[in-house]
Amino acid sequence: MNRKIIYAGLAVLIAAILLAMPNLLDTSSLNTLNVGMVFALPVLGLYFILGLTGQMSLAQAAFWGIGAYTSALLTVNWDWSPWLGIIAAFFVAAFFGVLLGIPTLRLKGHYLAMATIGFGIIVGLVLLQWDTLTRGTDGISIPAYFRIGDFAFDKIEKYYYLLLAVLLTLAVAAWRVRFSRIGRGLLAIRENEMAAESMGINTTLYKVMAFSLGAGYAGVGGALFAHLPNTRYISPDTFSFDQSVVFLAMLVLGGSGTIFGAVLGAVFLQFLPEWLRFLDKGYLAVYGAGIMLIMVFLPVGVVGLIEQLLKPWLPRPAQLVAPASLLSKVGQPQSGESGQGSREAAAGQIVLEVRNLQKYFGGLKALDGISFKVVKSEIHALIGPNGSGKTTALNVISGIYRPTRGDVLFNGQAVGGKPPHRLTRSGLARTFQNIRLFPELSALENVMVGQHVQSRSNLLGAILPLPQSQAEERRIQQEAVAALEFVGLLDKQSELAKNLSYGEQRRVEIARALAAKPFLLLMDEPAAGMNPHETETLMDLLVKLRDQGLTILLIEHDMNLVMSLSNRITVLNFGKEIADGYPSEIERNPAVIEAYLGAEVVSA
Amino acid sequence: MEEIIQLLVSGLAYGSIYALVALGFVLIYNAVGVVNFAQGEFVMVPSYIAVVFLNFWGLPFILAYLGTILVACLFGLLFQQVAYYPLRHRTYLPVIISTIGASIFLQNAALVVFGAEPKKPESIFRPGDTFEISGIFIVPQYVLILVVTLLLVAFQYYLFERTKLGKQLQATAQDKTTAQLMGIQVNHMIIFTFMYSAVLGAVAGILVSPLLLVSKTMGGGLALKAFSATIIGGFGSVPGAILGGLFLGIAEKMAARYISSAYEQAFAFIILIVVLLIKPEGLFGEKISEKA
Amino acid sequence: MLKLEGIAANYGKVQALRSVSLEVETGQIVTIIGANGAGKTTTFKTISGLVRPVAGRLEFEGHNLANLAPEKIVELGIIHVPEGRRLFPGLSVLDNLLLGATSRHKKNQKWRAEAAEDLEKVYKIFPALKLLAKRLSWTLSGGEQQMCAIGRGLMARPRLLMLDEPSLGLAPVLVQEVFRTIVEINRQGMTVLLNEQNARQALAIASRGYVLETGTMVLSGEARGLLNNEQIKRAYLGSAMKIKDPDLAEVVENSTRKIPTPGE
Repeated sequence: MNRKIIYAGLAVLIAAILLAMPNLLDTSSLNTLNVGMVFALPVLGLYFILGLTGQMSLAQAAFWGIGAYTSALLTVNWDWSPWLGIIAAFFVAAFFGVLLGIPTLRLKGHYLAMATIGFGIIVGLVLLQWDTLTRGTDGISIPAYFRIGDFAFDKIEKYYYLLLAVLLTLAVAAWRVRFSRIGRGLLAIRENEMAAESMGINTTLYKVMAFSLGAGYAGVGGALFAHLPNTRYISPDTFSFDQSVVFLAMLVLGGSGTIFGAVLGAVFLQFLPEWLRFLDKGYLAVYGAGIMLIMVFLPVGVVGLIEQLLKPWLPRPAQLVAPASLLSKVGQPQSGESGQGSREAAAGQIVLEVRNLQKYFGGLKALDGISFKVVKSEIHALIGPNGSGKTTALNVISGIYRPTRGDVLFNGQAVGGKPPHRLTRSGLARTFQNIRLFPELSALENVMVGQHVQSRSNLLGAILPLPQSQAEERRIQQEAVAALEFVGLLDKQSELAKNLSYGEQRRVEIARALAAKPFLLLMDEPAAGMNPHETETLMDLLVKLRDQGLTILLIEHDMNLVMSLSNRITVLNFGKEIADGYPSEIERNPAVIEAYLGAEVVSA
Repeated sequence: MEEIIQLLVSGLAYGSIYALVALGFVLIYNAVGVVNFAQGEFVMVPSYIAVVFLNFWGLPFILAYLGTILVACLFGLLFQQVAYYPLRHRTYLPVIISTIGASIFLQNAALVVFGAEPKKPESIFRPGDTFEISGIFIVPQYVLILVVTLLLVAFQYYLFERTKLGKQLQATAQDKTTAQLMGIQVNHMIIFTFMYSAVLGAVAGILVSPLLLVSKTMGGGLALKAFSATIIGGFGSVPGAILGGLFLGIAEKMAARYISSAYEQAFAFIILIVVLLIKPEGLFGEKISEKA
Repeated sequence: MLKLEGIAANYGKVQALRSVSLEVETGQIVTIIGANGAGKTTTFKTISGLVRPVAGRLEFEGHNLANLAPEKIVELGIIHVPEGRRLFPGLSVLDNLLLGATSRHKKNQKWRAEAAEDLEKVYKIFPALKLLAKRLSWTLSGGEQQMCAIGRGLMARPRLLMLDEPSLGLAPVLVQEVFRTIVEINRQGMTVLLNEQNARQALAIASRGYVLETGTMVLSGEARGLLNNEQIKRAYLGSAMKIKDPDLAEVVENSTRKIPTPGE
């Protein structure tokens, strides 16, 4: 109770300080603050691109410039209201974001960084050279102010409130996106793109979305920069590559994982050189050295430092959510967005059929024509020595690899070559041999990502508090908790995935796959790394899932597990299938024994 | 025809400079997995040092240039110790930001020490000089650039392919952990790489500063072009960096002459984006199999 | 020769090793078996200095290894041949082999002559490498890469050779070959510490075996004894296949101390 009063008091105090800022600061500091707040917008945009999605962009200054010129030209040449200018700036910049994003986002790391640098420099040169439109080096003076009726935002004190309102609105929007289905999808891409794709996230679309949203934010920042009441002037050299670098530094210094860090980093780095002005000529050199020192001595960023200092005062993690009683539904897939008609499958029905599947890597025949059928509500094991092609088979079935030849039929439909996210939508989920969790997300959020295909909120639903999307978010959370309870990890829901033990990580991965309510579950060595006790728990779990009607195709080396659980076994060796049948047949098959043991054992 | 040859020579000369800076990028990237955003300052700082030795102290060329290269070694060592070493266990982002900080620091420190006015170093040839061979006018500085670059590339080939140190450097670049398990002093190799990268920058700076003049921003533009060159040539590849640099230099001069001089500075990046879209592994990139 | 006592080590925030104790005597082949994620590789990395132990004692011939840099440990005579071969892909086989001799450059003026000598010895053990000497190492097949990796380790003239999963990803025929080679190297006097998922084969050539489970040594003893240990037998396919009475449910019931077969 006491805490609540303290928080309320604190909130009122912060609000009061923010509102009183123009009276607290002198003109030049307020001006610096205004510019810092303008910069916070492209930095927030970068938060979407780098902070959430993990993609590098050094074109933020270009989008910022596109926004500035859009609004400036519309207001100057066509007498648009700056309000419309700011909206146009968002959309024009976002459009260019899509334009840059679609071709370049398949690039990774430094390639992407370089492509964005190139784009930024080209935009800068166009602004400079296309002087019939942009007036080249002369730049543009903008006479128009933002107005509400007769009230004009013509002084920096007034403009401060406009900036505060826009910044708060967009920061809250960013925050809502972060904690939505969309935000989790973006984070999943940052954490492990392949797993994200396997959870049904259209990673290409999501990356383009992050890019254009980030560009749009930068565009709004640009428009607000163009209309700063004390300058109202823009010229091409402002929107340089160097500025993109500064935006990047602001995000990372602030603490790149957080929205508050993005805003704080922008304002802080804008003030830092002002504080150093007393150093006269050398102040920018000290500023550069300061950036290095902060990186070395403040690994967590400015926000991280504040968090550490305030830790004793911060609210404890929210009460754990009680699981919904949805256990019985796990394994009984509801129809997702795909609206698959054939889900009411009768027993004995073939869920998955692999026909003469081949996969070559260059000259290496990883799969050399394998065929098998998986029957509904059965556990089907795929075994074989190392390098026999088991994992390749799973990767082809789940869409990660395209088959060289042959068919994969899922519920009678050919799916070979479809991207993983489409397959997940039609009811297939998987776990990986080398656990692929999202390490920096909590166990609960990992499983919530698994619900991606079971939910449909879009960006608008994420940002606006629509009752429908809020109800969906609650449902996602409850079902994720249920799935965690199902694998016995209810008490670990707020732990980061990377801090869980090996066995626990395996179980989170299973919970995440189950959260997609799959029809067919593919598991690549689920018992690897588990101790005997954990393996037994896993076996109970698998039986429970099968009893509920789930079909499971698994790769496993633990023969106790395989022999006691499997309804049917397919054995591979050197990419070929050497046996297929019931466990009792397999364990007596001489070819199988031979393949596993080799001809003889060398002894000392 | 004469014009094309002249363009070719000037393109090759600028391309050589891009290639030298690009090599510096690639070697550091291969050694520590991070793009050094202060690579331009690896050119700028030694260029100023050369100005000090030549213009202020009036040293003879040989001494001044050797002195510059020596200082560049020290600079590379210092840079590694300050900007990279404390962050070596972190992800790439903090290291990138740290090199950005270093770049801002160095540029503004140069501003404080040398002022905003660009400096014109004493040089062996006057920049305006030309000589004529059968109707073709050749700038001697260009020839100097080509010859020195060729010698340096040959030296580097010898160093990396024929010496024990070179093999250890390559091993470190290819697999640091395993290099450690072989008893290679990985940290020394990384220090050496930074030093050598600074020497490459120093040579590029000495060669190009009679043409561009020495200013605090001289390195930034070169570094961006060089970075493009590394990607055009095939990122991470040493021959790719050299060929990419030369290709970029020639393409830029040709495009400026025959397409548009206003957008000369943009061609590097237009070429870059086209290459990234069509052949992301680079024009001259060799793919090391994932088998490894 | 090598002695670990109660070693604990962390991987990130996760405790990878809780308490690992083992002993290797000169001239022995000692094997560590256990599942994926049990901590076998972390144990190796702790010995070779890539991971720092947080508790326990780590001694090699009287030297405390706990805070030595990896290159110092190599100089003491321990070579760790890493899992997955980890050759330097862009270098030739010959260069890879010669880099194995790095640790001896400093102390020894005659290293060139010695290295040439050792090279001949390595070629004698792996004649194929001589023919492949000029090839870039990434073009080699898995078996050839493993030979090169072991050969590279031998070039350091180690007193203790640590092999991490040498049979991983090799065809059964080649697995036999690798094990034969290990026995051969051991006969020439090399002490070998072996991490193996092919437990049956590893125990067959080793004199001692240790069983690692979730970062703790749970079982150790004479290799032959372990090979005949019912609990261990049951956990492996070879034995499971031969259980005539396939009442596997019961087997599972009883196998509370069973050792899971490691994965790929």
